[in-house]
Amino acid sequence: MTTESSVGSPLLEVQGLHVRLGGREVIDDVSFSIKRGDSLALVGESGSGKTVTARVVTGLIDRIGGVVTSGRVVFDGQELRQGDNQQWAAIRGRRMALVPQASLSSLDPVMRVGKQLAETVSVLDAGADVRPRSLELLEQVHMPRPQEVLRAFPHELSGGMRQRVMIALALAGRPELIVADEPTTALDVTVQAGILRLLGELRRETGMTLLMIAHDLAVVGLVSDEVAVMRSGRLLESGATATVLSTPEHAYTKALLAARPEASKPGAPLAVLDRETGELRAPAALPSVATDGAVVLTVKDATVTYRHASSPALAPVSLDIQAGASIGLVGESGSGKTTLGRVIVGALRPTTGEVLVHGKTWQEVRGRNPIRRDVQMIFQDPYGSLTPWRTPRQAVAEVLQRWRGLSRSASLAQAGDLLDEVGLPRLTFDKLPRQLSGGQCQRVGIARALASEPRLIVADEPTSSLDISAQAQILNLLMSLRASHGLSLVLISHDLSVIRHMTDTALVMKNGVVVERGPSTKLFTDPDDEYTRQLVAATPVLDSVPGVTP
Amino acid sequence: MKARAGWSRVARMSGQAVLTLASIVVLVFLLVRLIPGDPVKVILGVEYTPEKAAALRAQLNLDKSIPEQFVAYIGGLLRGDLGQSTAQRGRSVTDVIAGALPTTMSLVIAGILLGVIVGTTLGLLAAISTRRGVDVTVRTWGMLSFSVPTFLVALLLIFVFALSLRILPAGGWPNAWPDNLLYLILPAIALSVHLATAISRTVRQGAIDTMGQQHMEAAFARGLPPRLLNLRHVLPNSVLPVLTIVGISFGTLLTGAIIVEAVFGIPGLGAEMTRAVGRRDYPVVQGIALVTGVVVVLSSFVVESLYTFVDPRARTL
Repeated sequence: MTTESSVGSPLLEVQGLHVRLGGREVIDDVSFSIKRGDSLALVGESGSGKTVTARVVTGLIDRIGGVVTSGRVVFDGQELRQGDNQQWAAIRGRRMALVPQASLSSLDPVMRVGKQLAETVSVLDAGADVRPRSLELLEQVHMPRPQEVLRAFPHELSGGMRQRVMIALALAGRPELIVADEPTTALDVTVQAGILRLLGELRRETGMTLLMIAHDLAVVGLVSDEVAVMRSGRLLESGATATVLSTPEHAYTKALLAARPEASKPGAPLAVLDRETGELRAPAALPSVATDGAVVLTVKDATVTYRHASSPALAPVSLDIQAGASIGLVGESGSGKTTLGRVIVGALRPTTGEVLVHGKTWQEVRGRNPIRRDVQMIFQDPYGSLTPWRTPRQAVAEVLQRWRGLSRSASLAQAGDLLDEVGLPRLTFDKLPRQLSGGQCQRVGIARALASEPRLIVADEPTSSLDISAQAQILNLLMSLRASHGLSLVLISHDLSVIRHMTDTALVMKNGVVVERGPSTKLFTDPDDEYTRQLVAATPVLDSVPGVTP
Repeated sequence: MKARAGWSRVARMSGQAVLTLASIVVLVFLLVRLIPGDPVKVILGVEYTPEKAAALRAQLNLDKSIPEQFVAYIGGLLRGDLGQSTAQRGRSVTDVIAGALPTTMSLVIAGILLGVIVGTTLGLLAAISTRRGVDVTVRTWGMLSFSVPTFLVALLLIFVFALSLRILPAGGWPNAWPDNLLYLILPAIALSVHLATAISRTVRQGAIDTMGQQHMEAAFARGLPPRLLNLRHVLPNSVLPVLTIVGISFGTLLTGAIIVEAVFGIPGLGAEMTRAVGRRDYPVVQGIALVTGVVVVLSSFVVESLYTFVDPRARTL
């Protein structure tokens, strides 16, 4: 399998790589190498070219129409040629394997897991006893109850289990190099921790080489010895992970680190990279308006049980939301945090219990009742929450027209002011959502929520689909708007760092039950509940973020 | 637990099927009663005399009140008695249908089999072929055949295979197995053309969608050979909608069979139907309408149930 002579020399070497895709140069002179047994992480935000690079290495770039215009990829002394099926037949799966992004669709939905494993084993490991080898692979990835998993269909497994199957499939051909493309991106933090631990273990046990693609620097710190930071198709900085994370040289790397919520004091504005000057700075905190602390909304013993569900999605919960308060709902998928958020805004009627706004339940607030203005929502998917054929100006003006009784032209003009306030560039006011970036769309969503002059905003994972730098900007915006408008904020997030930074009190939820509630800082430094402790331990954070003074 | 969910889905669907069947029975019963004019007068025509009319009325149960008639009708149905044909004296409706149904069903089933095999193969070929010409040819063929009406397809087939090449019979029906297999070929082709086109389009689109999915790329990157990918992953994922198409098309195919039977001179349900309508043989029309309705409901029930067992995801819905 391994030729002894090649030990110590690079297993994978990328030299001066240039790639064109869709008429643009998406990779511009990227070079790196990985020694046998080492690990390297390519880190960057969306559009940085990290995934394109992984596709070139795995010989998949021509499948999406990309062309290597110059440069070369050398694997164990052999130059890899895109589209050379004969060459790749000897490499794919056998010497180099891919672990794709965690998602429901990385396994064939109509074939049992056992059959997919068996098929891969019999192709890559001819002569092996298929069933024992399949079980051995599942045990290697610490799959609980492997016998049952073999009989299961992919949709019957959890996200973490599916990802373990993907890793088992990658191991089937005993490859020397594993390329993992954001292997934990869609997973819960506790599951992510398990998968990352597994990758580290496998590396030690089998001596395999790992090329990992990631967008989160903290995740990289857990699995990889070396890191390379990419942006806009260029490789900006690379070196030992510890060195790069503690003493970054490039301004962009510094910005990536500084934009993390744990890099600043809770509640302080986050540092953002100024694209023009390349300077790193945090905006000054805005003066805040005093709030009277009156109760805006009350949740009284609300529960939700969905039809045909065996257990409630939300166990009885009570909550007073005061003016100016900021409350975090944190938990993993299925914890009921979004259900509670929807109950608060009145999008979902509690099965028992009630939600009171100004002494009225949401069922009594119908149609044009002005109480409806008081509570607004910001959604997770920035593109999906905007009507595709409406410009930002139109989206905001619609709300103004309804609630402020303005004429069409007056509301369009005022919409411009609001969009200005949320920091949307003027050039984009009259473009369509698909021409905007995710962060810009989220700003439109925020302006639209503000348009009715609400007193409470419920933000459901407002930054989970954004890059870290866009997240910092949106969080800064939410903080400053909250201060200047005296808003109450309910922030729903799976990310403990975001919750700790943004909220005063937080509710930790699991399986529909609030397991712990209290001041946010206390929850994350000195939790009482075992589950909160697990969550805190599993959340990847950088211990020492290089200092940024706001 | 999962299997039980599948069965409960089947149980729910059979409940729906029974309801649909019941409403078909009621509608068919009302059909004859709602037709304006006195069916007895129409049936007897020039032979009309008050005595004959009274006798026929009694035979057809039309002298009783509507609820009584309905009870008698249901009672007859349960005994498998659909009444007597008025045009073909001495033959029961059940007899007429029993004589024609197997012929029509063999034509429809042969048409479906042919449509599924040809449609799936062409659709898959169009999707996976790396040569652009294959895709273009299949799509052009699909557009052409879709725009040509069934009877014209039938006539073209007769012209080419029966009159010019003289390798297949132009029509007719020897009432003996397996001789009639030869006489089934051209009608089945004619009937299957539209179905094959619909299926090939869906399979092609399904296969293209499947090939673009992450699990296909993941399998490709694992080094699984293309042949295995196409047969074991693309095919099963893209033939699921074929079931739906067959289920929906069953009714259309039965109607199409009427035309095809007429062109090829096959004594099936369609031939009986046209004759019965022409001779105002209401009991036969009523019986055929009922049987056709039942066959369509049953076939879509079977297709839906099959879905439950072919697509593992449908079991948990």
